[in-house]
Amino acid sequence: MTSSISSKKWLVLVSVILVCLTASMVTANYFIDCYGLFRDVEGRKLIPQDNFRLAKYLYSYNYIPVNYNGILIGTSASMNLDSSKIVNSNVYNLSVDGGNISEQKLITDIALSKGQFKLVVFTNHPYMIKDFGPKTPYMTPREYYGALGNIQLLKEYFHWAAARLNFYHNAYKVDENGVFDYEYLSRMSEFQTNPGPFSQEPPYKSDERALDEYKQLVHAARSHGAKLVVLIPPIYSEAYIPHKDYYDNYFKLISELFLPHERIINFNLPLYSKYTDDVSNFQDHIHLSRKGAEIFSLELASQVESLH
Amino acid sequence: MSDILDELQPIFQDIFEDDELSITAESNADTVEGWDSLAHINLIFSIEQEFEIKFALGELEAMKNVGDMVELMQIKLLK
Amino acid sequence: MFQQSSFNSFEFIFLFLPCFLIGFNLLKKSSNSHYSHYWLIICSLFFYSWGNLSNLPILLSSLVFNYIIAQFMGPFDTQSSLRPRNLSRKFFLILGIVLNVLFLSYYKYFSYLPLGISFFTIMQIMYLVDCYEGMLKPNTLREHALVVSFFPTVTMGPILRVNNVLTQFRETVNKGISPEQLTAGIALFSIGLFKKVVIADSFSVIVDIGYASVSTLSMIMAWVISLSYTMQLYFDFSGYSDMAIAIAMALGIKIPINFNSPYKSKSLVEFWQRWHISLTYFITTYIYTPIVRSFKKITFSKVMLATLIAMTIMGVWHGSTINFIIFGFLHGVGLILNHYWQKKIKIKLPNFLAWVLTIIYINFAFVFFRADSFIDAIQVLTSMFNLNLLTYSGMDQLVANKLTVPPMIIGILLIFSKRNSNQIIKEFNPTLLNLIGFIILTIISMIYLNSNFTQEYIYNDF
Repeated sequence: MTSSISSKKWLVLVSVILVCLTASMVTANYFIDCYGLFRDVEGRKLIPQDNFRLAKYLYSYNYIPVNYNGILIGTSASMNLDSSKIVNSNVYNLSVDGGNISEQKLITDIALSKGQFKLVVFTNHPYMIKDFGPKTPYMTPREYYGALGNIQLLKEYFHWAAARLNFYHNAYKVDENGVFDYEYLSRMSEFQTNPGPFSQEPPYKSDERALDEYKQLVHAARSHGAKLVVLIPPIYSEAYIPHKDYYDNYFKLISELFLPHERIINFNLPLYSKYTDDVSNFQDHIHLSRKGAEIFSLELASQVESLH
Repeated sequence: MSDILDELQPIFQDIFEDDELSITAESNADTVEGWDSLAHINLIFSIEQEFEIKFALGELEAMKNVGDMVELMQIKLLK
Repeated sequence: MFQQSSFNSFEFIFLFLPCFLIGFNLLKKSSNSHYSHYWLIICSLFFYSWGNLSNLPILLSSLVFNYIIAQFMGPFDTQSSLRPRNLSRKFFLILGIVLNVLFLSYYKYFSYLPLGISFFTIMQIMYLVDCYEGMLKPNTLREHALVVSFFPTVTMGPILRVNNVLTQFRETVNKGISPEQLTAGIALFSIGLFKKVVIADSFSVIVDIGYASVSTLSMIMAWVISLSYTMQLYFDFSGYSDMAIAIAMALGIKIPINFNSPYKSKSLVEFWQRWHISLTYFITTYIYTPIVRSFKKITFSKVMLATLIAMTIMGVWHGSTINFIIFGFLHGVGLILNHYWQKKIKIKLPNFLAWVLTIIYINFAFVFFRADSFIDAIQVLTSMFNLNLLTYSGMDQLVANKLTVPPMIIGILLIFSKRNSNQIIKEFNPTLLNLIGFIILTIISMIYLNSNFTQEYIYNDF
């Protein structure tokens, strides 16, 4: 092993081995196709193992367009709404935690260009347009080729294996419909025993460019031929009421981007107060507990179904 | 060669503050202790003054080796 | 993506390089031995323009300008037919230097910095001085373009010495690429690539996180991020230099090394002999020495003043903000203290203590190199001593990015390794064992290259 070989032999061996190793790794990843990018993905149920932000982005290339005809866009506030409860459409929950409109647009644009969607649900919360530009570097077309072999892919395999072999589990996972069913118990109990105070005004200022992106996305979905629905996620009453004007102004601002016949589902209306007053429905002022998510998912489903 | 080398000895001994110092053609910045940029510049100047020659900037690095230094000096002194 | 002209992209390594090398080697065997040089120039200009075509006119105008100035200056001991009798060679030298400096300053302070401008401007200033002093004859346009646009070094150095490189090009004009040189080049290239895309980029994760939140750094975090940056910069820059040297090596051209285990230095003086060596050569020879020479009498304090001025200029060369001036100034002051200690106080410190002091000082100065503003730099430095271990330690960031830890540990171990990349390649001998080693390095580098290696998004706000 340590004796000299000729330089020519070294060069040939390096080239051949490198090419073979690379080709086999790429081929293997192509066939495993854990993001459903390369091969037939109809009927498969894909569950992100590690980085679900990247996963949702990559799913929009093929998995979502093939298997779903509706999408729900939003932030972490809507992540745990079970979109599969909507019966007359197959809706994928594309909500991304911390996701602002820029990132949502990146994902949605791809999905719209690759598939036929008859329903797009836009959640409406100030967080989505408070800043502009992607927050993470994952949502680029480059990641498509990354799925042929890179660190994120290896992590995805590792977490899949770890879960299978039972030595490591992510506490919560996104399911095959994009729904992130989670409940952070310590944070939740701390909030529920001591919900206040909510005197500070929410610190969200809208960014003009972000608002513009929102407009573009709405327009794109409309021209795609999808039915548009606005979803205003429930905010815990004690947090909402002191700043009602602020929130209402914001919701009005966004609602103006939509046409009169496009349904606005506002979960902060008085008719839902029996739910939004109840602190046990919330993990914090904007994130629903499992109990709350169950309730509002059913409400969302019935509202959407009544559109037909 | 050896003339120049002999004449260089006192200069080196002065710059490096070591009366015992004896340089040879093989001496260089790695083998003589304290031969850093400061010592180097002092060396160059002393040699230029003593021998009334001028080194080009591009020649200075070659001077970090006594053998090269002497060769260079020989060429300049002949002119 | 081959977005900017750089070595760490798939397109560069597996498309550009093989095409270039094959073409270069084929043309060596053709009738006109200079065809290979023209091919190199074309490929270099192509490489330089890739991703930003508007940079190309800047490189070309600098190149042509300096070529013309040298032609007007003419050879050392004969009268150039171009140069009017009433204008001296010195006139053209001064003109050339001043315009080069103004050119660089304009882009530095009033516009964006085109790729490599700091490097190729410096290289050509050295060239003009060398021409003036008769160290070489003025280049032909082909030769000048060859060495200035030379793609391995045009973006980030090492800063070449024109005479040395051209001599090698002339001597090897008929020689094809030898398998021995190619294997050594590939081996060194894979080491450099690994240093950059695996080790440096791993350190950069925690560095970016830390420097983005300077006001909330705990003492531990401040040390962690500053030391990590010190490591990142070394692996990034020396990795890139390795790759540059490797490509040139494959062509049979020997470029002087740029780094020689700088973090083994036991003094600041030693550090500058081991760090960015090609720049140190320029600063010492073409700035420091002339300043000292301008003094009638050389005293210790005059030489120290020259050191301070030269190092401050070095700082300014790196960037246009006050942080870089401070960086240079700090190193100037450090060198003065170092020389003073060595020459006047003369107490020899134990090796370990000397090394620790040196590393700490270097680390401090690099904070100014990385911080986004003067205030940020001060905040990091004060956090390093705030002794308040109760503030947010930020260690959860490291835990969230635990994948970066193994390469960082490898990096730290490599700092202390017996031989650095250049030393390894000097003794390189193709064997099956190192073949496997280089394949592993390359596969890992390729995986990293295909990854978006930035911090895991820690969900702090919702």
